[in-house]
Amino acid sequence: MFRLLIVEDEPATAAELAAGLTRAGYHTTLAHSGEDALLTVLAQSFDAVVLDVMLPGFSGFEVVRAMRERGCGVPVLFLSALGAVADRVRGLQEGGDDYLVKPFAQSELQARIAALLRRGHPNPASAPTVVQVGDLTWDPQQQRVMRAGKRLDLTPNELTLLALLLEHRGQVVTRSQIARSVWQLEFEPPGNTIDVQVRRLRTKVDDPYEKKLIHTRRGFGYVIEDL
Amino acid sequence: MSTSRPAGSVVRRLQIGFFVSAALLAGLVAAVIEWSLLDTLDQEDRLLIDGVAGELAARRSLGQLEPNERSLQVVPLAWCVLGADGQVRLRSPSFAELDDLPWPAPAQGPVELDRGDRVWLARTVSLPRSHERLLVALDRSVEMQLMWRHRMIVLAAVVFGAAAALWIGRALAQAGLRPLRRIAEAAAEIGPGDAAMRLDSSEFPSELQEVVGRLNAALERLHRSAMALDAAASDIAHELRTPLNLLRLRLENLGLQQPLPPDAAGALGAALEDIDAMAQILEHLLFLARIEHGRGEARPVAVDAGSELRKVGQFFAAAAEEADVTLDVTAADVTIQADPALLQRALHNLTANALRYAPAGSTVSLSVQRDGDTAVLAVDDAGPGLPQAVLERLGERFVRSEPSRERATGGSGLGLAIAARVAEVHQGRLSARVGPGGHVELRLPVAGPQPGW
Repeated sequence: MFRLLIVEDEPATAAELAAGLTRAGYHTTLAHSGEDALLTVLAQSFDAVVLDVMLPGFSGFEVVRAMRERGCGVPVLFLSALGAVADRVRGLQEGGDDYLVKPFAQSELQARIAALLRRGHPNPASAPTVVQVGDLTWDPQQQRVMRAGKRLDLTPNELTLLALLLEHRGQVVTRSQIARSVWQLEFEPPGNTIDVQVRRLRTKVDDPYEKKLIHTRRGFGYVIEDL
Repeated sequence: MSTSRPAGSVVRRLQIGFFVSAALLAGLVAAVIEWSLLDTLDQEDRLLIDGVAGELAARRSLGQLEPNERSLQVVPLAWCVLGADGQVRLRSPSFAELDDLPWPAPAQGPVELDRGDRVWLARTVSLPRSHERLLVALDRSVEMQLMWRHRMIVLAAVVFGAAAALWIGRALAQAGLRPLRRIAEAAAEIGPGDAAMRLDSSEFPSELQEVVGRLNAALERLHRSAMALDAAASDIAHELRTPLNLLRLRLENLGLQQPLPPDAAGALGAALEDIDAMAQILEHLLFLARIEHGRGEARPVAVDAGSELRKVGQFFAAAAEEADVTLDVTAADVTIQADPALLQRALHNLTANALRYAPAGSTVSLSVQRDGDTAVLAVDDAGPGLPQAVLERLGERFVRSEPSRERATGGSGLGLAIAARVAEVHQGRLSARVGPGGHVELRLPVAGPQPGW
């Protein structure tokens, strides 16, 4: 079980974060100030730190700098209410590994933590292999999607979108994850364009078949799974 | 500033002021000279006539007075000797025309007699021994003609001087106002991003020091309030995003902890979407606040405008297909210096607007063309186009085509404002054309001086 240190000065937010991450299968420890966080992260062993930027005393940036100066290389994910490009750049320059702007979806937080953990523990077994969900199979090496034995004719962008959903199969993928991963957009695109893209994908992947695999979780995002 | 009518030209007013004061001064000087000349002439003539009268009286008493008295003919003179009975005893030939004039009494001193064509200075002298009266008159016509000539010359000088004052006044006023023009030019260069700029007061004359000082003080206040706004934007981000984040976490946990009845799950999903919509408006407002204060949002690199447009075209391909709209991308080879993320954001907003209003079966076209040193990235649609009211306020926050706040069609009302700010931060501008047919374009410089990011 991965061990996470959650550093958040606002007790209710810290409790809700911990509840969500515990349910997702992480072992969580809480710290409520920068000093507290630094002492804890140096004293114990963690797989990743979820670190609020605005903390009383030491700021999140200062905590990371102190960690890195003491040779502590645990991956750090910043949480911040400050969303300017300059703020993100500073977070990464100070030694952080990722930066998530509040408010965020928990599924996105979990996806990013998972990405940090993968980076920290390279797993040779996770090389591209054929992915299967229900009667849908995706062969990443051949860029080929089959459903019920028939090859699906997808555009490159539809394929990228489906690959993102399959990569997180069983987990919710948010619109902003789609915007960033499929389209490299650092902003939430206007209107319902992402919803339309998922709908177009469904007309090819789900509509001809009885069993639906792509599901909408209203308010959360989209998930591909064989229920 | 409350009326739209300007308060007249300062140059014109100074010019007229110069003219009037020059005319008044010259006129006054001319009048004083005139008065003093006339007075001097008058004094001289009175002394002269007294002398002449004395001489004539002396000759009469000696019985030496002849009608054609040669010795006195250097002076234009007329005289007559009247007896006690009032009969003419003796007179000069020129006296005839003065016969009927009202001669002064002997005690009265010299008096001016106007005969119309000539002016005379007249004096009556009693000759006590012979009980006669001597009437003497001095012709002043030549003097008066000389005075008239003098008056004309002075008048011409006054008129010429005043006209010269009109011209000099204009030149002086314009020269005097030139530093003000420099202040105006300096003020025109002050953009929202450089409120830290100040005018160098040593470049301006002492009379304008106060203006420059006050302008600098106003800039200082603006700068301080811009910094306060900056700080406020960060505070708002923190103060609103933190509780919004907590609200989202709570609702998500509520929905994920245990299965909810379908109604509750639907309401919870809608609530999460509302939070996302709020967060997005907040993000747009903060983005606008940051970009307006020129704070480190833009990282310009050389980008190919055409390939940026093609990316946008691909992103909106699905939405266009679903709306039964043909999305057409026409790209010329134009390289611009721009921040790709900001450019994408602006183009996304413009394209989303176009698709929102394009009727089914029509075409939305994205194009880039080079117009001299400007790259024109245009989005055209066959919709109704932007109404005049929106065009006039293009780039302002919360300006929508339709007054309804219907989010499904109207958007947040911040898309065009964001596109306009993005254009400005790249030293370009957003412009649009009145409908029918939507046409909005980003005009960005192709190459040029490094802007002050």
